[in-house]
Amino acid sequence: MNKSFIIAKKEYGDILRSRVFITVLLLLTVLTVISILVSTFVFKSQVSQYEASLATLKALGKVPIIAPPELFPLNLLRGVVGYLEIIGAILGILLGYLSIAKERNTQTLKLLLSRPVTKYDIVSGKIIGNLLFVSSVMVFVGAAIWLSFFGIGGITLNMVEIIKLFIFQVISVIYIMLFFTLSFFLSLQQKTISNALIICFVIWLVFVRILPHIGDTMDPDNQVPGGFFKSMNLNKAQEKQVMAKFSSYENTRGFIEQLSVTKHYERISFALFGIKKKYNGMSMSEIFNQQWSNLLWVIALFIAGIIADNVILFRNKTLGGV
Amino acid sequence: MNKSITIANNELKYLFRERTFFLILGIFIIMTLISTYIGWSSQHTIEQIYAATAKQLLSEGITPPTSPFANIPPLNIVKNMIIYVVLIGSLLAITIGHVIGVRDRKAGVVRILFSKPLKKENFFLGKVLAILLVILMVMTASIAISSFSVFLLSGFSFTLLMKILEFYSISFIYLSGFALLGLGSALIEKKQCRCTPYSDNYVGCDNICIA
Repeated sequence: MNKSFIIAKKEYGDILRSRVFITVLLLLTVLTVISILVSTFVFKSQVSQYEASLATLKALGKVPIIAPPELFPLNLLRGVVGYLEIIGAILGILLGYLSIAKERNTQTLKLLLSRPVTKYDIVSGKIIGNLLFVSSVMVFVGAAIWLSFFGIGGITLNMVEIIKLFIFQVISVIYIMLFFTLSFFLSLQQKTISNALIICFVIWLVFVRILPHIGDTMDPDNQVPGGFFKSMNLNKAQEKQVMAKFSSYENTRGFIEQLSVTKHYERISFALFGIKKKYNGMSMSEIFNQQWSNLLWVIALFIAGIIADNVILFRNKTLGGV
Repeated sequence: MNKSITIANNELKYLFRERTFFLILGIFIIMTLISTYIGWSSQHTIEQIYAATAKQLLSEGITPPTSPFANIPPLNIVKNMIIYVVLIGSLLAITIGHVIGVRDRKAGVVRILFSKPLKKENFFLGKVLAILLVILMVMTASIAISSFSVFLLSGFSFTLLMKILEFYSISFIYLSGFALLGLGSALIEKKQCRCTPYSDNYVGCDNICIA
């Protein structure tokens, strides 16, 4: 285990010294701040619109029945989730690829194995090192969120919101590391390492971009800006009544969406942040009761990735038997 | 020019042996095939959902608003192709450019090639020709698939055919840009790594460095 930590330390140091990852870190931080800034302006404009409508109604002598827009600070993080879904996955893929590419290019993997180091030490060391780096990135993103809330909107988070933000950071680390394990696996498995990167990006395209896009295309509510059912003046109960007749279509759409790990990650994040309005009033345990399957998918795929990385390294004769 | 065609021909032969190329090409063609069906099926179901909603509102004595889907253009069913061209198409184009650009360097035959009476211009032109030809072939296949599926579901129309041709012509230019980017990056890359089998039980990784 000690040897794993030495490898992890080396891996972590290598990444920190790399300019590419400082760039990624800055990119994520800037995007986080911009996303919160935009969401804050959108919310402020909603409040102004509400106040204007209220003044008009009062001037007309009518009693206002519209509820004022309520601020749930974590709702402003929708954009952050979106950026992490895409950039986080790319970061994971690049980390996994470079982790093996540097060893293959300099042939240091063989040198490492000529020392009393097992393949297990190498895999676990590299995973721990990268996990630490991704965790550091998420700490920075968390700090950027906290500072943006305070600096832009003067918002301070309560304890429950801080815990939710922390859980989101942990899930994000697992999500990014899942793509790391995939890229790590393919970089070891493919003879030409650039092919591994291309295949990773194909998988990224299909699971991160295309499957969720197909799901969104099939969502009837997405067909009209502002929502189809809202445009038809239907309430939730009426909407459910109509959609009950199209259950097989909805099941197919749900199945396509569930093929994408990104959708699972998005669903948990949206539930935690109350971006799906129904979760705003729920306690943490209620949210987990409804979201455990999505959480399980993300964790299970990450564990499967770690197992696959170990299997490929042990089976691969590239490194000689240890 | 003759030499460029020979190079282009050779590049095509090699590209058609690349598994990665076929993997992305396969995904692109499959998505082209199913995109029309997904678009048509979604539109069809959504129109049915509107009909069911209108029926429910009428039963409650409310006049339903006019259908927001009443004036949807027929090519709406292939709208997903835009995102597939942008995402999968550009990755395919970069891969084509990169594979074609890197091949000679990886095989270490660049110096041998230039020891023959071959100009750099002909060498480059041959590679560009191969790239453009492959993208043209992919776009032609996509035009055939999209047109056939649209006409099957919406009926034949010359205007629709022209619009499909227009879209894929723009896509061809867009993808060619990405392919040339892939070619350029492969040509200016300093190092290439390849793995070669040394013996039965040992496969190592070679550093092939070409200045």
